[in-house]
Amino acid sequence: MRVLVINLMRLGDIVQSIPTLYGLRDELKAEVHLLVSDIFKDICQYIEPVSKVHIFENSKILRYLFQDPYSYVLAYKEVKGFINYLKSFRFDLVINLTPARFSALITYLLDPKRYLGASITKDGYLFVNGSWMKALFAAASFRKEIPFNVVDMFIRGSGLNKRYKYRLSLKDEIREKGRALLSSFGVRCDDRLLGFQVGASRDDRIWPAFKFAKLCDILSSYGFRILLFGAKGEIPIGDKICELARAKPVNLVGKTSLGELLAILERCELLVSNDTGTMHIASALGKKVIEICVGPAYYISTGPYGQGHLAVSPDIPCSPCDYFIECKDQICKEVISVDDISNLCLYLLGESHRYGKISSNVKVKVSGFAPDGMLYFFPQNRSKMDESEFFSLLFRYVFCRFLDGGRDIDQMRLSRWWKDMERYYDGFSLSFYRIQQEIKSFNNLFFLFEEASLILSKIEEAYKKRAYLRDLCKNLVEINGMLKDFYKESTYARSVAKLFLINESSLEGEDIKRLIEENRYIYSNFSHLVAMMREALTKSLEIYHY
Amino acid sequence: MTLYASNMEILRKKNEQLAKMIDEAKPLPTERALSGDPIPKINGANLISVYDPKREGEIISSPFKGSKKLVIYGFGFGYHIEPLLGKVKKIVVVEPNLSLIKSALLSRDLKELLRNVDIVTDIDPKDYLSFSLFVHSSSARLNRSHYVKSCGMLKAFLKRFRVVVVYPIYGGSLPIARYCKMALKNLGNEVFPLDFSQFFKAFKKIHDFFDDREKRFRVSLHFKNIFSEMVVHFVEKVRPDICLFLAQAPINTNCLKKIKEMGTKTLYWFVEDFRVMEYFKEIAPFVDIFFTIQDEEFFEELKKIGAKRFYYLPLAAFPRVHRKINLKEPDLKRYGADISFVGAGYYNRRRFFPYLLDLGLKIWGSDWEGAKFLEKAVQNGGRRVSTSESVKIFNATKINLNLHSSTYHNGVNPFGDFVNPRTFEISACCAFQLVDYRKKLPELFKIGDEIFIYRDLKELRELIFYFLERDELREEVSQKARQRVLKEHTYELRMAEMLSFVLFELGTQRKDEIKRFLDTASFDKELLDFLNPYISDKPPTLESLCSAFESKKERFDSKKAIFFLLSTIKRGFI
Repeated sequence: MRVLVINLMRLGDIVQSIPTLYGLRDELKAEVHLLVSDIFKDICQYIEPVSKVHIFENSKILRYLFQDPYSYVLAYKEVKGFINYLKSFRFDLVINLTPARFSALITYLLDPKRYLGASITKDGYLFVNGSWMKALFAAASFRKEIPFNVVDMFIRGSGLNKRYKYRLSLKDEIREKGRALLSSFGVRCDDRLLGFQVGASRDDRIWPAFKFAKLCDILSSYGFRILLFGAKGEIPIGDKICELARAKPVNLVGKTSLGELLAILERCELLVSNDTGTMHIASALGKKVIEICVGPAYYISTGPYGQGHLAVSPDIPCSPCDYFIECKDQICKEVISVDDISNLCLYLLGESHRYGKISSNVKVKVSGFAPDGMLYFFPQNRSKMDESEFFSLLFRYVFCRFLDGGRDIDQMRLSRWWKDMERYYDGFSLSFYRIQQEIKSFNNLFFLFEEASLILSKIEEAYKKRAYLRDLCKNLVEINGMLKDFYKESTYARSVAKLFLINESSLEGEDIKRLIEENRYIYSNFSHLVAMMREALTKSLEIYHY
Repeated sequence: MTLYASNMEILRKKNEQLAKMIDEAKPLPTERALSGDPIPKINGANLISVYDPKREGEIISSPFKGSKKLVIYGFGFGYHIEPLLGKVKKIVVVEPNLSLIKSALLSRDLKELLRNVDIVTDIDPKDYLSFSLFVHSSSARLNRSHYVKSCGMLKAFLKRFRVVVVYPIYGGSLPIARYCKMALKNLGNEVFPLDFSQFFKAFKKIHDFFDDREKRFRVSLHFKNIFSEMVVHFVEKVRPDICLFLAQAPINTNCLKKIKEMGTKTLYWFVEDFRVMEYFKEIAPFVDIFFTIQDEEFFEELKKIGAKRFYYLPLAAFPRVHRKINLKEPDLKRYGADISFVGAGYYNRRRFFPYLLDLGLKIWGSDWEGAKFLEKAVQNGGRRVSTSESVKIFNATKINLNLHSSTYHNGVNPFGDFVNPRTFEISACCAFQLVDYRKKLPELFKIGDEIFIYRDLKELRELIFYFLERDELREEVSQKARQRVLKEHTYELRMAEMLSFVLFELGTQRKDEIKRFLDTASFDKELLDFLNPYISDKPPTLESLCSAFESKKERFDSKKAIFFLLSTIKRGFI
């Protein structure tokens, strides 16, 4: 079986797809091909399960596109040639892990026998194949409601369901290069190394340079050599840290090749990082990571994969913020203090048995695998499960079952789910009244979906007879209006309503009959989901005798 | 009978006058194409294919085989006309070069062609609006100026543009801007005026607030920059094909560049004397086409400063405004006179007019303050005269004086070249005028028949005495002048000529673009066929191609998918 995996996003996404690639090779016994953008091709040589890497020459195409107003035909030639080249491999399956229209167009152009993820229909509209892939698409807008790590979503979306190896493979020659570079900076073989990834793809994800400088001073005093990592564009941050820090760190910002970075990271005992590709590389090298989540960084979705990493985030209502918000007062950067991070570092490095005092408005979560086999971030210290945590876990349980095709709640499994959670939580801190309210809201939502589903079946019937359509459509529009107004009703049920509206509005096409059918399918699917949610809530209350 | 004689026999039967003119013309040298067919040689250049002119004629004429009535610009050697015989009901061929026709008649058997087509040397485009137009490109390039004024104008009449017209804040070019707007609209274009005269009061108040000349200049500059940004914003909103600026319209070079980047063609009509107003140097090199009311010396100047495309376009009249009117008694009494002058008190007029006071001269217009001897002649307290008032004055006056302004001369400027709008306006009103001699005047009016001129005071006084006594002659001359204006000198015709030139110049540029585009896409025959319907007068850009796909809602296929993919890449989604 020959499989092509399309991953045209960032470096981090490619690293996060490693377990999927192992799964495809080891479980499906597939010959795995990987399609990446030219700027990220270097990482592919360290990904072992890939038989062949195909490079999408994005930079060359961009050059053609901007050369003059008509040179796009040369870009056309380039793409057409590339697609024909890819088609010659006759892939049995194309897995599109990039939730975007352009990758959907590539999937369409490849005209594969079978595909998972986004493609384009014959009439030119986007279509996502596979329930987990649909969730991956929706997760970009509903990170909090779809509480799964991207790595797990890649695995499930590709039709796999286990945990697979998460490892980048380094050769000795690369290690040698890393050693040579370090020694040129006066780093000895027996130095204990700590890495700081000081930049990020967006300014709002960067913890301040002066805090990194102070952290450097504290940790250096324990005898660690601090290495600063970053891309060429982040050189000013590295320079600023060096200028502010009394203990001089080894400034490698903009000075390492990808191979050298990998080799040096492998030598580090720990990486303190903003939400970056370097963080994923470190975790794929088996290194412990402390992720500082500021701005829109959200550890549940994109935190470091593997056991025992720490995610530090501000415990403030706006965190994590939306991708499109331009924050003028990034309080999240102030909230996480240098002491918080240094205490956690020393704890992970074994310099202290427990970590010291953490600021009251800072959350520290540790990564681990939940009973469903997927990554989750649990509280570092057992504490009472609050309402948001409760709903996050409840959503997780229901969604997982729903996306796997389940249409009801198994009381035994649900009990086990909560029982397992007792390892991490010291009981609940919930308001019975609030839960009852949410159940009521889910109830209302259920009836709306059921009603809409009924109307749509009538519309389907009426469409055949060409009658009564106007009144029926009017009723449907009324229901949609109520769904839009659902935010007044509840905190958690509304997110399901929102998710529904996004799903519904993404329905594209001109074939009315097909649209009615698909619309009805979405309504009925969501009525199942809401029914499951309501049932899970009620049963959870029963389990804990509320 | 020789080839020539037999051809001429047919032509003589159809159009004797033309046959006579051709007979008198000197033939061009001819040579043989590779196919053996005769072809003309004009100044060393090839007008038609040197390989196989018949095949070329077949190809270029094929799109016109379905036409009912056709105007063909360019006779060539008849190769592109022959395939259309019997397929098109009526064919009119426009060819100004009689030598070319003669050499064709000498070397080819064209009897069939001559029997079935009408050959003319010129056309009035308005008479051919129901015809399709087939332009033999190399003939049009060879006779550029003739083409622009004949068939090019027909093309301009038939094509619809979106045009933004940018008005000045004030000044003599303001009414011209309004006429241009109306004329463009009458031609069927979509016109969007941007009238800066609405800010005149604010501009004047702020301007007058400063008494220092340098500060006033700085303030004017600020205004210019603000208004320029307004133009850019307006063009962004309207997305016109053309943005036409009238002289004094506020625009800076930076904003001109921005407008050009948006794909809008920038035209500037500089209705000023380049010897007095030098600001053209900041504009002419940055616009697509610069139109002038002077040529020769001015063109030399324009070449020096790096202007690429410029075109002589004289002023005109707007007959709906400048018309003959029957005045009522009170108006006749108020505006009537033997001799009147309408205009501002320029230096040469102040020096010249005192010698006409004995003839009862009435002066209308502003800026006559301090003209001691003329105080009594200046009407209405020297206030500005509105357009409708000036039309009444022209109509009510026996002899309208027209003296082009000058800031140095004591009377007539002996070197004056361009013709002012008043010349056309008085004529359009069917009023009589005596105008000072201008170099460009004989091209526009028949001197001594449609219009009478003077070169000095003596000549003027003699003409005044002569014509004052001859009412019928004045009427006859005025009628002729009016007919000439209606036929050749209206703003509609000027705008059509302007658009004709735009189509010709930028059309040639676009043809080069299309050729380059087709060459680039030639690696894939299937792609060429696919793109062909999307090539109109210019090749499609990636953006226009994708929006055409979206609007047409045709079957989705892999070619469209690739173009959509490229569009997403270009917008930075990867």
